[in-house]
Amino acid sequence: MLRDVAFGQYYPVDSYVHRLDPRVKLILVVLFIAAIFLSSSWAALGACALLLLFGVAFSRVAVSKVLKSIKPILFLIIFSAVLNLLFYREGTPVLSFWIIQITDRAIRFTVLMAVRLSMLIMGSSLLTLTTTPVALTDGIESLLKPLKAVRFPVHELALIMSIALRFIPTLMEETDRIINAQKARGADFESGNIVARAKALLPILIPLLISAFRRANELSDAMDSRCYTGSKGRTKMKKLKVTYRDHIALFVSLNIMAFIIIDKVMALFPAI
Amino acid sequence: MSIIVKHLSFVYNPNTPFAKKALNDINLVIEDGDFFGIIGHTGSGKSTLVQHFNALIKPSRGNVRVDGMDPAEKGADLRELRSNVGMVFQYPEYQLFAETVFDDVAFGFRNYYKRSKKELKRDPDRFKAETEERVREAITMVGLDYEKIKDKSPFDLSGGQKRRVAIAGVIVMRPKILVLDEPTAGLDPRGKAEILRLLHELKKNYCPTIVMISHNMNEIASNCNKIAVISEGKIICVRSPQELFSDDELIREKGIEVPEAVRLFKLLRQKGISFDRLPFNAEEAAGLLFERLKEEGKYA
Ligand SMILES: Nc1ncnc2c1ncn2[C@@H]1O[C@H](COP(=O)(O)OP(=O)(O)OP(=O)(O)O)[C@@H](O)[C@H]1O
Ligand SMILES: [Mg+2]
Repeated sequence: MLRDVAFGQYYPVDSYVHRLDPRVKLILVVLFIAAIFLSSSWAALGACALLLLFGVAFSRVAVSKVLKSIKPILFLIIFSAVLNLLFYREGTPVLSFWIIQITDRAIRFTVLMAVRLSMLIMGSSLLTLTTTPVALTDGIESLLKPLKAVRFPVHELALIMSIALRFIPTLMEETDRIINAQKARGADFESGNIVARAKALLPILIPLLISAFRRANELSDAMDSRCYTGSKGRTKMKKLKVTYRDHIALFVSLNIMAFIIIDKVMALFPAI
Repeated sequence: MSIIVKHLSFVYNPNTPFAKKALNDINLVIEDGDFFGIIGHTGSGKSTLVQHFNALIKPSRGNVRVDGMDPAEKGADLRELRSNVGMVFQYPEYQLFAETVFDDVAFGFRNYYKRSKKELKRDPDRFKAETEERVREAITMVGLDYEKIKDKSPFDLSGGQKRRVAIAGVIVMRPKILVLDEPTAGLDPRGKAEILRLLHELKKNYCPTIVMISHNMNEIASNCNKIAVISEGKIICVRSPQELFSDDELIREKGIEVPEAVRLFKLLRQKGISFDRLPFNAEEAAGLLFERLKEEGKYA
């Protein structure tokens, strides 16, 4: 079923990480990504891994689910690893045959990059696994609020995002239904050459597009008839609140990140 | 052509936190010539069940045999099966896509015919003529004027017309069993009545077996010869309308709505006027009352 690959990959359990304020989670993920790229020693990378491990452990998300998040970019990781391994020329060669030469630094760099990339993906999927799309847009809206000063339409942007997110499952369902309906009329999406296959998609895409427009019209009518006028004077049903949980999470994470920064500084200025 | 369902279970999204057991050990026989009704509350698994009949969904457990053949088996001819078991989904008009009514209705037939591509190349004229004949037949069958409508855009039609075109797009394959998921949903009373009349026509002259899901008990009771009640993925019972709507206990227990005529006659029974048969629509009710009045000599 199409739904399986749906990106709404929220993992519905109740946990410490699930209850964190989405703004805090967003900030932590950004900091985490920065930390990963600051880490150039194994100790620093270890600290990142520890942070990730904490996150996974306190989220009650199945470890396999987190690991699986790498799958879509596995090819990218392997591809870049091969390139790094072959073309990184500094250091002493440990292996050389034909025109290929692999150095010790190349191996180190390759592993480092692969680990970084995997941790980056796992860290950011932990965010989407533990935060509902609605909470996520709320968080983004709240974090972008300062941009209102320069007339950036923060609320509208958030509204567009949440409508889009809201309708992804609906459109997925609709797609499933239309595919089934056309299959029932003997449609065949699997055989033939590329042109034939692309053409076979028309009976799905056209009804889907039409229904998307229909839904958009209905939705705007519904908003109009409820006197929706945009951000001015709107209140929220669920107010975001920073609690002791967020303080603890921030405290732990910032300490670990401080360690990474100190580690980096020490590497840059060995004299200290 | 019959459908035999044995120990059928189905789970959506197995092995995920979203796993949902939609069908649980279903056993069912739909015989040749049945007008088979399926009723049940929303989310009870009706749509999931019927999508097994033409292998749009494969069972998690158990099997479905259509005309003795198991579509889940390797090498089963799904295209053949899907042309034999025509499936009209809920709101079928939302699946219209072609530029003209003709092309939309022809879609199913052309797909089906593609199998014999060689034949098609050898004689394209015959294929064209045959397509036209079949499309004309299907459009006429659903009560529309072929010449008037064939070149129109399906999106310019009224709701009821769209639905007819969508049904024509299924019966163009000459199915032997027609499955309809809430065919009258969202139509006005006249549209509903017209669709039902159409189904009877179809059953008489075209596809002898019809399976219909509906929430409308008046429709189900006055049209079907057998009714399956499904609740939380399980078949509760399969009965004739008379048996089903006489069983007060079952009706109460499962919260089944009853047709309006039945409700009236149950009130009459409470007043001491009982009949040995239940009516399922206004005409039948009037007929029964008329007879009784004549018997009692109160009406000359
Ligand atoms: N594609 C799907 N993925 C996951 N769960 C589904 C899917 N389709 C249906 N379900 C679930 O399976 C159950 C049965 O659904 P189904 O559509 O068969 O019910 P139904 O009896 O046809 O209901 P309705 O009368 O509302 O059409 C429901 O609980 C539904 O939420
Ligand atoms: Mg349904």
